[in-house]
Amino acid sequence: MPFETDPVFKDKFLNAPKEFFTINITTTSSIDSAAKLLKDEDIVHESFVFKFGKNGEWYKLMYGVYPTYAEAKSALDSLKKLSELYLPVIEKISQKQELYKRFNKK
Amino acid sequence: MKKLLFFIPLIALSIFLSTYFYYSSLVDEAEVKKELSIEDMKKELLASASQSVASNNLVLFEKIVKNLQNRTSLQNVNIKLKKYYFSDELLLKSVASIDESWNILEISIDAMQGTIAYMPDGRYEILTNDKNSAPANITIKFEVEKNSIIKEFLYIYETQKEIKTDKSTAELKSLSYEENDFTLTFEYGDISINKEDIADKTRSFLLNILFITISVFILFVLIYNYLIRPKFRKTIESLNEYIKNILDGRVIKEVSIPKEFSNEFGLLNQNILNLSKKNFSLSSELSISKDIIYQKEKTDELTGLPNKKSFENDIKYMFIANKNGFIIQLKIDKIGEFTNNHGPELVDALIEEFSYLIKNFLDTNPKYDGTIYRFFGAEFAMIVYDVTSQEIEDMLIEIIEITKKLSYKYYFFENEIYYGATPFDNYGTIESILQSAKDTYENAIKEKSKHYYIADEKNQQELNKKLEQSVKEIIARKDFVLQYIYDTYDFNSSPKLLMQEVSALIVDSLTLECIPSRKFLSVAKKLGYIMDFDKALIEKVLFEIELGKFTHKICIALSSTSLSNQLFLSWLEEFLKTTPYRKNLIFVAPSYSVASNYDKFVSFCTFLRNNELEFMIKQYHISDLELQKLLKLSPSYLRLERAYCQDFKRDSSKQHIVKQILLFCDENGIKVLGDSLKNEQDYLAFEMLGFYGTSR
Repeated sequence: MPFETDPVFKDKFLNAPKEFFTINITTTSSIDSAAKLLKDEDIVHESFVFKFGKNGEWYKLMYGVYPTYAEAKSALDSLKKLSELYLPVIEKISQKQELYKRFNKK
Repeated sequence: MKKLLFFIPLIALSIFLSTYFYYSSLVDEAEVKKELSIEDMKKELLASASQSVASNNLVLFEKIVKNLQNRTSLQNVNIKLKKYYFSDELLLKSVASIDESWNILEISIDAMQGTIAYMPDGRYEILTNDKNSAPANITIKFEVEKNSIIKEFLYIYETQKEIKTDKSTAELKSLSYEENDFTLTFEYGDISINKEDIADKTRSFLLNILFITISVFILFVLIYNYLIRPKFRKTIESLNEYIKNILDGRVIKEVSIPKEFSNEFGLLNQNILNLSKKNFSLSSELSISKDIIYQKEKTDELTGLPNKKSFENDIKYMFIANKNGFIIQLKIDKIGEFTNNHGPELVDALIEEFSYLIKNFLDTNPKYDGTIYRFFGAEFAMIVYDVTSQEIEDMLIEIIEITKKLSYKYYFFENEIYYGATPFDNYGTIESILQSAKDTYENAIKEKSKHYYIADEKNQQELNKKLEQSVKEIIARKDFVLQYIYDTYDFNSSPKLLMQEVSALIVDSLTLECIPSRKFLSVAKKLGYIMDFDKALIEKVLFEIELGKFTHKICIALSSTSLSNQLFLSWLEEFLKTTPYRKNLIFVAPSYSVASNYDKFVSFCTFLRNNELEFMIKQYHISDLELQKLLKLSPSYLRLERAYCQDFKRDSSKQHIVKQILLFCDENGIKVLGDSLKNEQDYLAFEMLGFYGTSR
């Protein structure tokens, strides 16, 4: 059974106000790697994984939806192990909503 | 070489000016360089800023700035970007482990810093949240992929950069450039001229120029001393030698001046040769003319025999040389009557033949060293040297025998030629000797039969012995009085007495007769008392001057014995030191005496000059003493012989000689005096010619 993002969170993410913030964790080349990373960090229910790239071969891992930058920063600080392994960046959520839409049109 | 010292200040000035101008040029050059370096620095800084911003490479900019900071006066630099562009290439090149074959998957920045916009040209632009205050560094995260391998990297994007320096400069200038993409602010120090460097260069220049100057100077001295001077000296020596030859009257046939001075010296050679020939020719002509004049002056025109003047000179010579001999007066008696009967032509022929016979007799008889002189008319005299009474008698007998034939030839039936011979009296005078000869001649006429009379030599010897005794006593007792003659006046309207000559008036105490001064001096000289007499004479003259008798100068004639005696001169020097009236004395000597004792007088004149005493040559005749010989004597006064002074205006040859003498004396500071000027016209002429004074 391939990994899928929690539909509730997916919805929350995609419908969140544009000025909200999220954490761009990393990119992986397989859904399995993405799933493993999220499971290892136990952040599956607060994460959103989606394909992007010309052929949809890349998987973007996003974490959390925060109304303020401070909250996003506080959440990122709590992900110490993740921060050591990857280079997570707090971004405006709208940027990733647009990215999702660009590569995941139905 | 001493003249070269004159150039030292000029050389020093030149060196100073050169150094000053060099220093000024260095300062000007440094000023220009300073301006150029600041301008260059600004240009380079702006160019590198533009290039670095365009290539998003402020690291490169920092490198260039640091380099500029080291090279120039550039100090703190700040560059602030206005827009923040970057490209894939920048990001890929920022990581050593990847290359441009990797693909960029995503680029993101922290939301607090801004967002990234994608430019149409493929580049990216960071849009900061606060447009006016961008953070100094923006962290860009980028993800790259190759062969399904994904890597993440961070790139620190600098929006501004400050490059500081430790240099400290007193005065700082600040500049800011606003460009489209960046603002550049920088500080730089006002470059001061490197005075130490300029001073070093100036010092070095000065040392070099001094070294060159000294080297050139030494080189010049060496060239001058070892090349030019010896050549020059050699040439001058050659010229001197030629001129000396010319002066000595030698003809130069060849001149060997160094050939390297070819053309000019070739011409000089020719001129010297011409001058030599011309000089030789002129001096030959002159000496021939001179000889002719002298010969004429001393020769009888009719017979060619020496005349009375010549006789007198020879007598003077006998006095000076202390010669012995006989003086003979001879005369063809009643010549007037003969002339009336036979006419002057025959008389002349008679006189000529008579002269020839006697002259020929003397010339062909070497045992008789003698000369015949014609005085005038039929009156003759003879001097025969170093003969006894017997020899003179033998000679006269022979002469009478020879001349007998004239009686027949010229219808001269009575032999009327008489001879009176008298021994030469060393103590006599020309006049006394002539008188003595005349007396013997009268005796010969009285005796008639012998036609000659010879004075008794012994009688004269006895008289001389008595005279010698008297002279000894007179000198021992200083028993003589002074008389002053030759009053010499200047040419003022009321003539002032310039000088007189002292003469001793000597009276023989036995005969109470005056002893002629000349005779007295001769005796004193022979007896060796002449210096005592000269001393007594000087003492008496000075005594009379001290008494206030004279304000003019007194001339004293000393004997040649005294003036050449060192003891006498020492006495004279010491004696005159004690008197303030030494300036009143003039020592005097006749020119024939000076000529006969030239070296003694040269030495005496040097003595007089050293003691600031004056000397006068009297009875000066150019035939006695050449003008050039006066130079060594350097007399204060020159009194011309009476013959030059009398009938001066009527005799052009005298005028010519006197003018020559005056010209020479004027050039050599000698005052010229006349003697016994009788004629008023001559007096005026002498005054016009600038004579110092004259006796009348």
